[in-house]
Amino acid sequence: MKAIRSLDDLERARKKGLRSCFPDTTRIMVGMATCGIASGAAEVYKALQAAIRETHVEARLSMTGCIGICQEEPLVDVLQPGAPRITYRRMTAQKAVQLVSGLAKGTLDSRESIFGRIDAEDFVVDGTVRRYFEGELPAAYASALPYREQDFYRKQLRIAMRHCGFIDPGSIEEYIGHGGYFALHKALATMSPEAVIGEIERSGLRGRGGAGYPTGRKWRSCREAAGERRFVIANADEGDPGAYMDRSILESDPHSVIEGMIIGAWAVGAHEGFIYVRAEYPLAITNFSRAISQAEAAGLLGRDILGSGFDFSIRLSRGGGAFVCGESSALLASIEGRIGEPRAKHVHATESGLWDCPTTINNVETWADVPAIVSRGAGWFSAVGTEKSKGTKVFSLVGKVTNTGLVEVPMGISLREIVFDIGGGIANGRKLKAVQTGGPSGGCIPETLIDLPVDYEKLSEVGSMMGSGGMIVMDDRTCMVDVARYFVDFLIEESCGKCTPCREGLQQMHAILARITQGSAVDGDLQTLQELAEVVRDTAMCGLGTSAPNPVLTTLRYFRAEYEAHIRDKRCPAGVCKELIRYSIDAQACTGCLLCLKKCPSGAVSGERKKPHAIDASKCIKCGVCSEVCRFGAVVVA
Amino acid sequence: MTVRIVIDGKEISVEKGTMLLGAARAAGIDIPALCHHDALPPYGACRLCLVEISSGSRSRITTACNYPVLREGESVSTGSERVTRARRVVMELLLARCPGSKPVQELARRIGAQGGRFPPPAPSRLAPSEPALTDCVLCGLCVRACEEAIGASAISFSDRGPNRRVASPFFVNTEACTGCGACAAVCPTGVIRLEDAQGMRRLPFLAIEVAMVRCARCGAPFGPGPQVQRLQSEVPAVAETMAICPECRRRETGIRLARESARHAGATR
Repeated sequence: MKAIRSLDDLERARKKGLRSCFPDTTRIMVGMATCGIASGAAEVYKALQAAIRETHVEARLSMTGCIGICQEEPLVDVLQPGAPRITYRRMTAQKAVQLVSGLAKGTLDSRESIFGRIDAEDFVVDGTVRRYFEGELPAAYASALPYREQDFYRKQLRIAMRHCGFIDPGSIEEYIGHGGYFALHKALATMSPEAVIGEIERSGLRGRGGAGYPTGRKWRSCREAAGERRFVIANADEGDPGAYMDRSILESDPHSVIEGMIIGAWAVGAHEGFIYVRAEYPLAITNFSRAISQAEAAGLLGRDILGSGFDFSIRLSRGGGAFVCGESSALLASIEGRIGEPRAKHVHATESGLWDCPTTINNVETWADVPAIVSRGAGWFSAVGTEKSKGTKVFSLVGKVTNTGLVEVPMGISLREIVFDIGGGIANGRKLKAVQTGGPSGGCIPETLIDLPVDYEKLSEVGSMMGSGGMIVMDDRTCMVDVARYFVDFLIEESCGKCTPCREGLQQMHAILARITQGSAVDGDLQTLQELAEVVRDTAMCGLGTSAPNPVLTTLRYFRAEYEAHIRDKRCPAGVCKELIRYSIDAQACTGCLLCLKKCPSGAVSGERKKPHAIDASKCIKCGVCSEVCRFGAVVVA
Repeated sequence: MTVRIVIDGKEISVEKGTMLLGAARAAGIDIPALCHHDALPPYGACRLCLVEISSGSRSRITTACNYPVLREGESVSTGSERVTRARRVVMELLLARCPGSKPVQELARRIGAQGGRFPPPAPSRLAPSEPALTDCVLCGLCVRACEEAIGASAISFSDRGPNRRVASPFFVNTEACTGCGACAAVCPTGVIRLEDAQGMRRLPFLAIEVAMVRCARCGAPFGPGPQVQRLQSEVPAVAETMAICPECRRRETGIRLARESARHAGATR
């Protein structure tokens, strides 16, 4: 690509990008983020490629990122000139061939494969809307439900994920076509660093990585810190189980993060940047590295960016799989080549960070928000959200919920709206029990607080936190003691072991929780657990340790009765803790189908065809297979 | 520039940026700590030097060793209820780890922490009887002394979380060790010991052994070879003296002094 030196060059690149996004022929896009690939998108892509070649249908095939509804992957989008964009869900190689032959014949594919349609695309950074067709909707498409009318998308508002699933992440032209790098030009050509910081401050943007520190204030203190050399860093060491917001943005729209970083560097006066990505994100690393090269080739990274005289470069640093390296001081140590351990900090990274230089560390999502804010203005961004939490937040909605995937919602939306409207309620007709937010060191929010508005303050008031955006929905078959034990176990594995409370305290908390789930806890264990959790929270060295007791403290606060049932009655009300439950067969409900008998791995089920079966408790290993396979609800767990 | 703060009701004035632990100790106020040594930068790992700092209506718990005194008028409590409870629990955790360690028991008694509430931890990759688990509090003084004060970096932490331990690379003897014994000198629990015997200096806890250098006069082993060589090369003025054991050095010095004083006496008579 030719170097972009001016606004005219950028405009030319935009036109080229738009032609690539909206060609005169049919465009077929395959969702090829990790969620898509894991569901078989690569095979679908290959099948489409072959089918297009064979049928000679005129179509341009490309990849795109994650549009959010990950459970319907592999997703394939078809955009024909003058028609809405149609998304096909759960595609297979076979269906892909049918799709292409349908296109060759000019017919739409069967209705059940259609997830929905999009009539117009929001160009978030410049605030325009591009309609895919003029006039009336062609009748053939009427049966496809628009995204905007679907539960999953109706209440979403996409700023950070604005391009995810719409552009080819491998094409810088398509990013520019959607208004990318115009905010950078605006900042470099028309705004002083001071003005950029002011804009970010007024926008109310706060760190999306967890703690929610005001981004503008962070930038200001970095700019004002003494020092010749300065750094900006993107923290992409996303490690919360079940959370993949940052991965998706890096895979689907890497340039939004790069653009945000350049603007941030301009604002704080840094000429060097790092992105710290965990090595377990190979596709994110590939896509982001390619994006860096493209931006360098286009003159958007390197010397004299856009003819402004400003120099900035980004290097990529891979994390080695330690969760704690997402903590800023451990992350810095890791980039410096030292052991990834936190150091006690009474001095902020903005004053003394990477190699003791002033350093601004922001999360991927925060960086991705920056170009949109600079382009549309602080007022536009701060119009969304609550008093102290502005804009949107991406959550990975997972667990026992009907619709799982990545959702971006305005701050202040209630948990109920996320779980029941967007998430479609609890899967398999079960009852909601709790929502866990903020990753392994977040907290479990009980069903009674389901109307809680989601923002930084409200979540911490109830003992949880925003965290980086993990949201795990739990149903009534979840044991909260077991959940607390699970998360503490995870954090023991991930503790660096440097400070006493985290290293020793978590082990002791785990020992008590294990005793409770095994039915061997004694009176006083709950008080000890509570005291220990509070001390670890108050005395651990870094954020991992101080937040690690959250799952224990919140479950003790909201589900104390469940703990007490385990201790006093030796009973697990949710039927999860193996030592405390028994499997038996309800003779009335059992039809004698022999299925559980055949599936039982330990030969504990006995019985004859058409006669009620029975479970021999001495042989039963409590694996739960009988309960899973029984179609008549005859297996009783008590 | 000096800053005035109040520790346990006592007003003191310290140089801005002084760490709180040092400031308190200089004022005669004792705060327990296991991972601190005046010769090394603060580390903040043992979490025993907890204090409660109040500024206005807000108060928080922090470690004194790495807390720089920067703000005028802060009020510090080294024994508030919150501090006492937290410190006692942290001490209990260390006691559960090292129930047989005399220095740990002694500190626990001083702090008023009793054992028994927590069982010994059972990390997945450390044997229950391993001294790394039962005698070492992981204060890191040895590792930091070796790296930051001596510049040898012969030992470090290995593994992480509950399995963290101090070790030489790959748990075998290392040439990086000069045998200086700084690690043993700073070890607060005494788990690192030096054993000098048969011409060798051994550090059993670290699986390290270093050959002793022999005296140029009497032939007796007297100091760790690599350390002596390092001193000889870094301070050439003492190279010759360093080749002789302290015993012979003393004797030779005595003889020289006696001769000189005899000569001196003869000259003045």
